[in-house]
Amino acid sequence: MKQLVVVLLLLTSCVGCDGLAINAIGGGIQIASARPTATRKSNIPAFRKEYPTVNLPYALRQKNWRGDLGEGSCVHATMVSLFRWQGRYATAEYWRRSYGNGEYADDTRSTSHNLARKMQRDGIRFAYTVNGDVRFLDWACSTRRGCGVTVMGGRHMVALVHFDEKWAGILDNNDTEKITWVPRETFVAEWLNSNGWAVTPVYTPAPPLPL
Amino acid sequence: MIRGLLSLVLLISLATCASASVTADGKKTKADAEYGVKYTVEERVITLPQDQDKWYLTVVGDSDAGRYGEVRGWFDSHEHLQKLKRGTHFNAITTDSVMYRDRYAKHFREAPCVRLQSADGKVLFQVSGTNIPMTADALNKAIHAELLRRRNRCDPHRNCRPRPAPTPTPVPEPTPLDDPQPQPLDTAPLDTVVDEQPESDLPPWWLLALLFAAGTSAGVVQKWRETYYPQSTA
Repeated sequence: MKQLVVVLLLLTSCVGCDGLAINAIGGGIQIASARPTATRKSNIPAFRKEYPTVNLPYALRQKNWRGDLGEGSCVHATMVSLFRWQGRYATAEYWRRSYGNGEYADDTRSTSHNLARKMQRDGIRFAYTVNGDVRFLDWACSTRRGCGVTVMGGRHMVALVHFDEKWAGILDNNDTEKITWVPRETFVAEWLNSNGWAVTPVYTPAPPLPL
Repeated sequence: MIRGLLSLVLLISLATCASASVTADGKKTKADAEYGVKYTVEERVITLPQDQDKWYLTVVGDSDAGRYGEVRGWFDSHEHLQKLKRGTHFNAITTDSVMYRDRYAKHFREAPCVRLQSADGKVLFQVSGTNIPMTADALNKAIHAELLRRRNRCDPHRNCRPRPAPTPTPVPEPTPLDDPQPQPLDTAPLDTVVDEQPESDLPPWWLLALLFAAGTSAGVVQKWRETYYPQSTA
């Protein structure tokens, strides 16, 4: 009889538990809840670490726009988002107003499409790689700065907002509503196949949420 | 056949010209107008700041309030606070900013607030509202005292280093005890034998019933809230 009561108690304790839903979308994995959920009785995050590391509020995520040449401005949109995350709001607004269209990475060309030259001219502290050095991605996300990375064979730039041993979190300026999660190795392969360009401003990242 | 091959070569060369161009300095570049990335292959080595473990120092307040400006200014004027600012990731966040509204509002009870966090987000020091000291020097001492207290908390004697295992000398030698002498059994009269129930490992029935009632109530209340007050969990 008592054993039956214990079994009933165990069953009762399961009332109200919620499951974890993970949806597979388009080859990658989109975790249903993009940010850690808080417990109901307190604001303590369900996870000890914040996911993604660069958890930029939706209102501050810059969407892609067409420049005066009719080209997409994904590089600039990514930079604007990263400027905001690193507390450079005035620089972000200046960048949004001043630049647009497609962009080159290097600082040796004398054309107007030259991100490094623009950043140097405007006194921006930045770092980048164009040789596909994965250590740069590790550095950018371990310092909580994030970085812009090329994808789609080098035609598009998105923000890498999370990069750990297993997962890469991507914020696409063409769809800023969600963070797309892909396995680390899958992302690295895509990045290397997209010329391996990564760039980020080097300022103070937003403080983490308290544990 | 030859015409076909020539057409194919022509198509390939046209496609190559469309996707790649040569810049003034002779470098091959590519452009994609649809998405907006252009690149040339360059390599540059940059010394990256390895500041993963840097602490975060944050001052939050109303941009219109004089107190916020005063406290923030301490980190530029006071020698030790200035040093602390330089050694940490310093952020000044105003309560009217989108970043505060959407990210930090629920994590700050009152403004202004000074918060020091470790790199992983653990709050090491926090003071807010009227609890903020009146002077920069007092704030500096408060931060210093709290950090000192945290450092010494694990051991009042300031010695948190692991100690080697003790090696007692001389080495103790176990001495077996002698077997006790056999004693007569404590026999009870037959008419006083009690029919005892075997002892159970379970708690008493009333405790189980209480737990059962508590679990049921908690589950019902939680589901009730989820069903009728979904916004309270956001």
